Amino acid sequence: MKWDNSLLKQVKEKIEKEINHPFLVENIDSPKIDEQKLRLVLSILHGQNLRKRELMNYATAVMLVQIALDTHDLIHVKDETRQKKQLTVLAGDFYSGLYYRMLSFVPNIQLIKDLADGIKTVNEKKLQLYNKEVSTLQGFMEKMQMIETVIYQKLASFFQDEFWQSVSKDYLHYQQIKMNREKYVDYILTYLMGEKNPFHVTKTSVTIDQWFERYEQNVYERLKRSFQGVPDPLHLMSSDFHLDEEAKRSFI
Amino acid sequence: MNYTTVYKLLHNDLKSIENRLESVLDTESPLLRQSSLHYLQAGGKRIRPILVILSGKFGNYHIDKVMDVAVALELIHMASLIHDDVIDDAYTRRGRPTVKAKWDDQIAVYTGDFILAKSLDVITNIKEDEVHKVLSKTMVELSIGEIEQIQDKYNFDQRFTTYFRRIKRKTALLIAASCQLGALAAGAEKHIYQKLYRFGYYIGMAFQITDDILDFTSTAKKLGKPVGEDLLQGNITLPVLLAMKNPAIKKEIIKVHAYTEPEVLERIIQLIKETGSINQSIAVTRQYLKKALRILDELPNHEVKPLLQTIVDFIGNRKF
Repeated sequence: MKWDNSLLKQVKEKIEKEINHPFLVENIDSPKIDEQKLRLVLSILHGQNLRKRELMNYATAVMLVQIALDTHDLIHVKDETRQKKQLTVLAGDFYSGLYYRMLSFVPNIQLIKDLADGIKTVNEKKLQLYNKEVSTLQGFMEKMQMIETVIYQKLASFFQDEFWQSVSKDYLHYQQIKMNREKYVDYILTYLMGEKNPFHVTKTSVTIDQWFERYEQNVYERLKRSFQGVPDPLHLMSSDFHLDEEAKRSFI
Repeated sequence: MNYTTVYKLLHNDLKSIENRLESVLDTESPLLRQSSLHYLQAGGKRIRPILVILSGKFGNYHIDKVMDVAVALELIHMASLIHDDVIDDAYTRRGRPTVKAKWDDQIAVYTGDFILAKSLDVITNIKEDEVHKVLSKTMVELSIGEIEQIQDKYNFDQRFTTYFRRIKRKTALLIAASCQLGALAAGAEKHIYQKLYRFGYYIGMAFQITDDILDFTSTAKKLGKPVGEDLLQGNITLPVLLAMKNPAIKKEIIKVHAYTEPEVLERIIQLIKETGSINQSIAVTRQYLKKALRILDELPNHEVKPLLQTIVDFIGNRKF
């Protein structure tokens, strides 16, 4: 189908309609629909020769997965009321059930399976990070990358689209590093300075900043290589996402 | 014949299911492995896998055909227990620490999500669209039932229909799905699996009402949680609704809140018992079980029918 800029709005409306439960709306914050991820999903789906209805259903289902995962990250937020916490658990389960129901009625059983595998991986990695089951900086970033990108890699791999598979992996990860670098450094420093040093990094070997600099550059280079020679690279480009001007220029 | 006999008769198939459950939950994280196996290793009635097997016998049964359904449904049940314990802030289940108590809320939520994802991974080995339509609708309904349970907390003016709709969603539909999907996966005819669905629905309703009765009549040791816990948490169940038909008793019951002193709660439980609402609730359970038996009569003759009859008896008489 032809690219239509109103698609983004339509999918957002469809998601909002799906997740609408009066009691949840009244008592917990509405989940945020990550526009950057939605643009990526639409870009992946756009090249797959789908009918509009199919495309809308797939996009909605994938975003429901993301919303469910994000919702369950809010459990440990302190100072929430008991009821809000209870509803946060239930809302996550509800959104996740909706993704399954949506794809069951398409029907697309293989995509349910692939996304379920992604959800499994995301939760596994989240728990490992939460429980500090990580021993190297590289390992830490790999887990971060999986958490952020595996769902989109699964979607692209379902369509056997290698281009989008590799872009999904690096594009969201690149944004992730740009936005959260400080947080990651803080997290790592907390461990380096604590008794338990899971990263096996000594303060004299290489500074964390230098390490991140190099790491980020590698992801950026990979991403640039992926985009080389692609005539109509990204509908993503029209969005207000967090690539600096140089990066934008190099991708176009 | 009793429930244990049924369990023993199906022992080999149940053992295979048990092994598969354990292997499915394999993961590279040692903690996640422990937390996800925590309830599995605690045992349980395994009523859903048993119903899957017995219903499957009405089709062209082989354990391999129904294995994925049995494993997926038990995983969904386990994941919902783990999340329920976070919701209820429960520290013990069947006398053992809950996942949230042994680790914490966030780990419990990730563990439940991991198990749920595994259940979908398993069930999607079955390529029959109908299976997924039924199960996905059930899962959404289950969540809505739980949300409505929170919504109706301490709502002492709720109607009986609200209660019945809630227990249908949160318990009966998954048990109904166990029967329907077991038969469907084994290739039973449509009119058979539709009947089995209704059979499962009726025993599921009876199962939950029995649970709600046991909250008042059992002991803390058998329940693995304090007596009257549902009422204390604001879950208004059938014995309470029936007791509140008496305005004087209702006046006492509506005083219950999350911090009601144990001796006050004990007195209110006693008042509820004295209204005869427990016996009336048992009578409702029997009505549902009678309906289940009627469906059983309509099913074609099969050697598993006495076993299903035993399940009905077990639900009607269970003490734990």
